Amino acid sequence: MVNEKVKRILTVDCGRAITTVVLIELVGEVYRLTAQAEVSSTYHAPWFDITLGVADAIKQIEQQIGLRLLDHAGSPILPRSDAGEGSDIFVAVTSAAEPLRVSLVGLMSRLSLASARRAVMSTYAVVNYQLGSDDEPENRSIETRVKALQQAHSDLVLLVGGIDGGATRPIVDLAQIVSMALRIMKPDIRPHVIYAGNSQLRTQIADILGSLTDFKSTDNLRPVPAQENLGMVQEDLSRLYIGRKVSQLPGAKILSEWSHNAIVPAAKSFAQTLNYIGQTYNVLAMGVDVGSAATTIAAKRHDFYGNTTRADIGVGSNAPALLGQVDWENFRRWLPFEMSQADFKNFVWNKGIFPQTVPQTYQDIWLELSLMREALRLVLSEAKQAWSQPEMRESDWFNWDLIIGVGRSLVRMIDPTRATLVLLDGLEPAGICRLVLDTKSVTGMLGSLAGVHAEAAAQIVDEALQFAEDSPFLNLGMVVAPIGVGRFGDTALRLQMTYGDGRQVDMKVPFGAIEVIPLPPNEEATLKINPSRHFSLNPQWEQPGKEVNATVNGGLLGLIVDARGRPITLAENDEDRVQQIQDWLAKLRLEEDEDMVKLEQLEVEPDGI
Amino acid sequence: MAYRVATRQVYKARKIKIGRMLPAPGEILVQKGQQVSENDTVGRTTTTGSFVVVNVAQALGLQELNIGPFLRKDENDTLEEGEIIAEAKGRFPFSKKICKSPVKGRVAAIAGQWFLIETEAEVQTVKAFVAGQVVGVYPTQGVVIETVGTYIEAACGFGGEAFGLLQSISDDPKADIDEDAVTLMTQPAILWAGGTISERAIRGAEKSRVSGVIVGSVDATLLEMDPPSQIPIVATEGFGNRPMAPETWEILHARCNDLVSIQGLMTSVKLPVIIIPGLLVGETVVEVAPTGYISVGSRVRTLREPEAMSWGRVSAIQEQPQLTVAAVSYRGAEVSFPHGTQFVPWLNLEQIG
Repeated sequence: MVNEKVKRILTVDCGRAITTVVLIELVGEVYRLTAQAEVSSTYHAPWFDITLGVADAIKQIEQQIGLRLLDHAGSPILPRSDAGEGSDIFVAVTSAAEPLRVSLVGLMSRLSLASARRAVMSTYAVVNYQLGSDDEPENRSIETRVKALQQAHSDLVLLVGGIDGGATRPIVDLAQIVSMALRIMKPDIRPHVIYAGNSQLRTQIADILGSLTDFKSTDNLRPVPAQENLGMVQEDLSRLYIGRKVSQLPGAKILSEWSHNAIVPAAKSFAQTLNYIGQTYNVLAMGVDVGSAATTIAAKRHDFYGNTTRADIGVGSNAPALLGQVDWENFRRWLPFEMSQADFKNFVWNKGIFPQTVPQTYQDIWLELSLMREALRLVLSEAKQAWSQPEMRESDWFNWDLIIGVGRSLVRMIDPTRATLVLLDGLEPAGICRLVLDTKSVTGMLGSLAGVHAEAAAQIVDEALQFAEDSPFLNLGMVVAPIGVGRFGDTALRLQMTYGDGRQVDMKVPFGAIEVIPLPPNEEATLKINPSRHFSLNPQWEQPGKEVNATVNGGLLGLIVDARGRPITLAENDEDRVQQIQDWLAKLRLEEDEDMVKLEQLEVEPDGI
Repeated sequence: MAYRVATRQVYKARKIKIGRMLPAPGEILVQKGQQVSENDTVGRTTTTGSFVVVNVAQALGLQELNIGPFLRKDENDTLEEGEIIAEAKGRFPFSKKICKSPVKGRVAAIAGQWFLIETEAEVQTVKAFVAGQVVGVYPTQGVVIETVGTYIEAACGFGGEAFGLLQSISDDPKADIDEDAVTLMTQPAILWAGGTISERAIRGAEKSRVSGVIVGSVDATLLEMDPPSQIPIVATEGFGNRPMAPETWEILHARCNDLVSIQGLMTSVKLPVIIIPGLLVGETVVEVAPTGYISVGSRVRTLREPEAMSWGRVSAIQEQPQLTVAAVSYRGAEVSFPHGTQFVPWLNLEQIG
């Protein structure tokens, strides 16, 4: 652990498309985020060195603060020099590498293999082959399985199955199949094998596979049918991603030498930050990171903490994969204009081959928004399955105190009003909830920083949640969203808001509408909300129609009343649907010139060096 | 202050190095310094073919899974059909049990009670793909071939790789390739046009003497062709309706009837490419690739609407972020296009090398 005299910290997030560097400095007695820079990542052609982008971003920060942080060779000055140049700590997270390819081998697709799949979704990993004892008959021949395992070209075989003390022979047979597949591969391309099944078989499985490749036995991830134990496998997957994929990135070795701790996957660090926020501030917190190649949802509520990452679903390089998993009609419903499916496919594939690009026309903005909404909805549905444990009920998924939106697409490619719509449409929060955008992309770094300098990480989180003028988080405002379904136009709720100075606003909000009531940041107001009898502000759908009184704080957009019901219902008629979408955006639009200036200042996409 | 953007190589004439790697370790058939033509085989390897599994324990009537003591064959041994692979002597001569190989092949693996027999290995060869000189040999893995000529990184492609004579179908830079054009081919050819190609035309091309296609753009629905295209298709500008950039069209037009090699591949590390070895009279060979660092005067193309894939030159760099239609500000440059000047964010620009 670093001593307490640390004055300057550089934290880095090397993403698939963008590299972000944040400078944290000791200002007086408190750590503050004082500069941030983003550039295109440089692990690919023509640069082939991930550290070039990092150095480019640090150069930008040097210009912002007027102090040298790089030496003449372009490496960070570490530790700080006697002249006060450079930094004390350097911390890196990454999502730039290709995902870990995993073959799952197990007994039951709905038990041990389902658990294994959930473990895989904790980091940047994809399942590229699954072998289950309950496979379709045509896939059960040993020849087919051996060849499929060989041709999967996986980085890892995760062998699972059997509760502790349960079946043994079927698992040994599976291990023998894996053994045959390994034997027909050249030794240097054999995948790692992790065994996380019936713990009584550890020695026997090690005897079968241990001499053939890098092998590890770990805790049974399903020791009894009703209990899941993913922690150890998740840790192993995370380590393998860094060791087998990130280490292959050009320049990763140098980046690792610069870093004070081992480089960790950004998704893991992101989840750790959410966990800290939820625990420390006693809030039900969810974070979503919509990336070019991957989409992550992390959450902390009560005793539950976890993340779901789809490393093959994004809105940039992996937008075509999203297209392959979501029905065209789901994208189309968010578009306020006519478009053919073929034209939409062309747009998505062009986005896939030019993932770093940003929209320059209104049509392109709407298309990007539809991708983001559906990426969130898809990964949220995966997360619901992955977290369908006793501690997470279906209704819990609507109920959050705080939602943090992260990712260049969400935060920097569109304005905050559109980002608000994406969060509302993609996640459908209900009850009363605050929406926040991480404008400095720090959420994914702080979890890792906490492992090196917990005090600095904690103080940056605290600064972010103060929502001050220069806070890393942009406070969009609080949302009041009743759960329920009604007839379009019928009153969904009546609301009375009383400002601190006694002014009052009374409003009837019809079903299907969004209304925004001005409430500036840091201003408090009290609410009296009367949902109609088909609506409830309790996501557990308790006591519909019951009056709710609450105190709310303001935000950039004010207080947002989302009376579109849960799930959100769009008009079936195209003309009405288009009008709905335009009305929603119009309601969220800011009319004050002063606020528009704020928007413009926020949305800067620096890319110079 | 310098700025870095994505790059795209579109060269009339440059030094080209291309790696030709075997899919699995094998034998390299050429030597460093050797001249090769595009059709020469530079290496070959064997990859696994079909497998047959024999349950030896079951055949011998054994309960235990360890069949080691009963085996007559080991891993990598060759087998003839009917050859004994394991034998269990019983208490009496008549109770002896044998297990025979049902096929001719090689013992690929022995695990538990199972014997995995590889029945046929597939020989795979790798061709030079471009005419040039072998400048690097990686024993058992592959070679590097060097040549000079036209080199164009395309935007997208599929269908593998091919070479042939570059044949134009029209002098109209926006012409599409239709079924008639493909059936008129009288010699193996890489057909090209500035417009696009339909699925029907691709199917026609597969049946004719067309070995590959270069176009400006393709419809993304062609990626779902069932069965997939049997010939490589390369598009210089991307998906949809994006005619070939006039500059690229001119380069290809000048090389009509020359031998061209195309790779219709799209991976995270490989772009589809068009290579035409050889130089036209008076052409100078460029040896450096674009760096991505651009300044006023740099040649660029824009990647997004409303001017998608237009070429221009940077006329001014905007140090301050500029507000775009999305109410979002970006840093970028003023770019002079043939029809006027426009601000383009850095993220939407590619430096053309």
